[in-house]
Amino acid sequence: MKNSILLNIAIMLGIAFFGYAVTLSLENQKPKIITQPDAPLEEIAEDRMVPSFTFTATDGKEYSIRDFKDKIIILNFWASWCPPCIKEFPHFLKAAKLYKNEIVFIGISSDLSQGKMTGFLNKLKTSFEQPNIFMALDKDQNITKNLFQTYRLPETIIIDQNQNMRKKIIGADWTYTNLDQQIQTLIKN
Amino acid sequence: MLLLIAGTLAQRWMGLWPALDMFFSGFILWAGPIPLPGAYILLGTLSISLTLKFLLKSDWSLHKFGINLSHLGAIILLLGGLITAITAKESYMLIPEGEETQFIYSYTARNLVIYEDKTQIQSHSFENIENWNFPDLPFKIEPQYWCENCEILKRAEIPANTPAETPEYSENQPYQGMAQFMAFQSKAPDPQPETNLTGIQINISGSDQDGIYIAFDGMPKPIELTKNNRKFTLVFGKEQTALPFSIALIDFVKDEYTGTTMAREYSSDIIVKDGALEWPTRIEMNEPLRYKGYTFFQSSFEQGPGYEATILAVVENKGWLFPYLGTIIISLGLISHLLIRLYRKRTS
Amino acid sequence: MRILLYVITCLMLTIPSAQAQEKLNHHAFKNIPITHNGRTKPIDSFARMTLKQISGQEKLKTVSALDWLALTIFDPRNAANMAVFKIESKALQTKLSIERNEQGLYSFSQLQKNLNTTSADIETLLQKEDSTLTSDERTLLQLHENAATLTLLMRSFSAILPLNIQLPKKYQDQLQDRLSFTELARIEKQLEEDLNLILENKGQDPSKYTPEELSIAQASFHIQALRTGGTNNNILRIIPTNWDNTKDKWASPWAVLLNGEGSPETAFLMSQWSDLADAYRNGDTQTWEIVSKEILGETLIQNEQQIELRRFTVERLYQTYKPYNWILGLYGFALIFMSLPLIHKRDLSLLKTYAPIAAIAGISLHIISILARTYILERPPVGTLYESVLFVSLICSVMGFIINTQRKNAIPMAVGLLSALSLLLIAPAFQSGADNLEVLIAVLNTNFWLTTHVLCITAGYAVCILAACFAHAALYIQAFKNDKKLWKKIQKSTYHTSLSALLLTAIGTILGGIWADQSWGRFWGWDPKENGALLVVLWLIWLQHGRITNHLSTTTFLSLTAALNIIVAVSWFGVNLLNTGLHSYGFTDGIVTGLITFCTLQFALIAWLHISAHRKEQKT
Repeated sequence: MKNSILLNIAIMLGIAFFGYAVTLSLENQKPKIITQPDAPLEEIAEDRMVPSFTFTATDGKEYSIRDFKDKIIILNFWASWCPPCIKEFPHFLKAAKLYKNEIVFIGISSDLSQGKMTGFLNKLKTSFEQPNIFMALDKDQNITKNLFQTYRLPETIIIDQNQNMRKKIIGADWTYTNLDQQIQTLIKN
Repeated sequence: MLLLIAGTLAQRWMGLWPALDMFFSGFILWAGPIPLPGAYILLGTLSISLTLKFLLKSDWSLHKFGINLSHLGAIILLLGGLITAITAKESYMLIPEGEETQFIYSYTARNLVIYEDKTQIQSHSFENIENWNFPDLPFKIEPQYWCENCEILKRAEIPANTPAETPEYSENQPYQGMAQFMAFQSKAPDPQPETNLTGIQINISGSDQDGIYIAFDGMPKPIELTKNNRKFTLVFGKEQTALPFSIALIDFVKDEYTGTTMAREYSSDIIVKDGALEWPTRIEMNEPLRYKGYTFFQSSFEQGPGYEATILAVVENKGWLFPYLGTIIISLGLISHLLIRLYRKRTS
Repeated sequence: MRILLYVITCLMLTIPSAQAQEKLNHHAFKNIPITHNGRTKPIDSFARMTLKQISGQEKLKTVSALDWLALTIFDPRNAANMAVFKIESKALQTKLSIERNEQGLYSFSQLQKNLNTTSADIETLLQKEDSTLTSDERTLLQLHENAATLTLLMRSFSAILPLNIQLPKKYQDQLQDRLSFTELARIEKQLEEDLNLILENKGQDPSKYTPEELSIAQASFHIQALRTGGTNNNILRIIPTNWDNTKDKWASPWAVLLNGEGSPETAFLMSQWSDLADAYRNGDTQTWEIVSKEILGETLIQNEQQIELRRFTVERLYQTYKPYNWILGLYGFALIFMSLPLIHKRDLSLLKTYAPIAAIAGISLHIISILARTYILERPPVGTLYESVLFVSLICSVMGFIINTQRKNAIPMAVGLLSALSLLLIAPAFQSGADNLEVLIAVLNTNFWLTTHVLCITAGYAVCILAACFAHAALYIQAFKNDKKLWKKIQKSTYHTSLSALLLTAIGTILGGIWADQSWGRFWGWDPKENGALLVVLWLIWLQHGRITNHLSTTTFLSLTAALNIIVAVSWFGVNLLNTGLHSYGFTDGIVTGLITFCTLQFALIAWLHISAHRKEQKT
């Protein structure tokens, strides 16, 4: 009888000690530290190559999108009757000037006729006459609606130097800094 | 067991907090005029009898070891419950995205805090409003009217015979600040105490801006008084406590199941700022942050146009380890009892 | 009900297909992924659940759910004439002025007009609280909701289905022969300009327009109508999104067009769906088979979530073969085989060998179906009340079987099967909707403590039920049979199962406390659910202590153990009523009456058994 009491007490003391040890260890637990991911461009599992298409620019020449491999392409869908599209132009022009060797800007217009498009561009005070800016008319909406399924304007697709579509910006609600960050990340890559 | 049943049913009809208070926190439960043992007495009796039985009447032979261990575990569990009931504090913290705070707010307690310049000099709890006295202040504050849950009415519409309007109170004092336009009328408290709008109406005399003032939860402008070139501010609202560190909310994430509004996951990405130490971490549903004796849980959130804020439940409970310890011991006890019995069966 | 107006317009625009449908091969079509109710599933499941929601059955007389869905999305004009709406109440039938038919199912076209007239009532009904609505009012609300769902489905492909519009002459060469919204949208701006010109010159009165001007106005109007009709049409989420702009990985065809989710990939996929629609409308079985296979392949490639077709197959098998019904049948047969020899006293030993086979088959199928659910839902199968009933039922039959082999007596098996069967029979009452494969809310999301807690405590409840049923049997034997040996055996079983029940429920309750502490910082909050579990534990503790100290006589002990059935029913289901009380309508009424009836009957039964057994005890 005495032995079993002692045994009981021994075991219970052991458990009390164990409990105390557990308490101490839990109190001093290091909280988990999480670092914030900071990349503006998301990692994409598969490469998405932009489909090949041709367009006729304001200089009368026909180009293919494949002609611009090794450059970052900013593909913008716009129209003269779309006010937000016009609001975002200055950002693109600024970027095109700043990164004149690295990026190419292609503006695909859903205007109703060539005349309407060029008339509008001429009236605009900003100049589109830069070697890395191409404005083209998409008269039958083949590129805008059939190929890219863009039904709202403006939309902008950022394409990297390997002709992969990396990001789409829907609407005109973005800042120049956003665009600049994206471009810089792609250049560094 | 009867208490359990009654208390559970009451929760449905009375709302959580009042039911908890009435059935599970008191010593005596009044069923009309009949006093019945309340939760504390029942649990107390249970704990005491269990402890006495354990210490004095246990059969210490080895084959009853399992049972004894289980009883020990149960005692520890009850002890933990006692410690929790006495020491646990539950509050909440609201942090809008991009901001940081070091304050936690009580769900139920309101208080009146008096600042001189920017320093807090006095604090008085609303629960004790009938006994409020303000020594060391150069002016008098007399509570005239108060309500746990107030209906705000236009001053002009207040019926003539409400307590605040009796002549001996008014004494031709002017109404100051918001009291000029607003008055209170008491209404039934909400089952959720944190949604109650608690308010007080006070009479200030002896300062430079004497008059009748009102104050309530979340009043945009606090009461400001001066006397002899000393500036005082009176703020009334949910009792707040300052933590020794602050938390900043970087991003609140609500993940929904595609195509539904049902939430799949809530989490808050925060940075804990403790003096020179700053480190980022994440609080998610079922994964709280334990730091310096406080535990922060993802509780809820607020959303509005261009505004998102996280609501964290903050628990301070010195007895938090007891249930775990008690559980382990009870489990070990029951399992060893089972094993011992099986062993004895085999050998006999 | 402007929605209905738009539907009518859009339906008028679509061309009905005239062909009688040859049987189309749905081998690939049924597996096409769709996201619905928070979960990605094969389109076959979606079809079944939606049809069940509207008509109350998963299959119409001659048409399978999948065929019905295909008709609805590819040929909405004809789909409107399909009888799918279930209306049983006579009052409602009169209110909606529809002719009664024997099936109780009515088509959208039949209901259209009258749904419009009752829409004002709906506004008022929506303001009221659920619990105050009459059953008819609830059915009316549900009917409107179902009509809205059907409308969305009928319009889900209105962007790519061919339209019945006379194009203005000047544009007839520009656009392709197959005129759909997507084609028409290419001249949207031109039409808008033309229309503005017309309005300027001739004002708003169409009677002054030339036929050409009229067709311009109509074309413009139709584009607008279709566009408006497509807004917020998110029911058919079958197109994977490729940009990371939204968290939603799946969008409906209209959402792709209207929310900027378009991309070369979606353009390609939508054109394939367009081909599929045409194949359907032309009854072209070969093209249907080829294109549906292509769509399945393309969708799987495009989506980033790596859907496993295997998971879909399991889900389809689960939905098609309904293991639930088979399990019920097998358990039922096992019970019948076991009880017949008792009644007929003939040598039916053949049945005696069949009984265990049926039981084992039932149990295996039961285990398989729960495992299947785990695989389909990618979480442990104890998240909803329905699932907990399924699980408890399994434990009952399994434990019954195990005790049977230990004690070499048929009674445990019979008890196990009977309780398992009864639980399965009431399980569907706890489904909160047509679909019982649900996703869980944030706080219930998979978590170690939650899972172990639920598994432990439901197992505990199962063992409680078994103990209670054994107690019933023991009391019965004590009162009416003279078999001392049998009584001893059953009484021992009762005792042992009640001990195991105590172990499981106690640990389960404590695990629940730990989960609560991890989730919101409070180990014990006197919550109804917690109190319910505690009640069971306390009851068991009282019984055990009472027995050991001989405070309770054996008979009393048995009766109180038998009462466990009532305690568990109240703790498990009753507490949910207190909490959920106000959300799931229709469901609560049935449960309350059922619960009260069960408890009263049980109480009466136990009282009678107790008195009889006690009398017997006194005599000896």
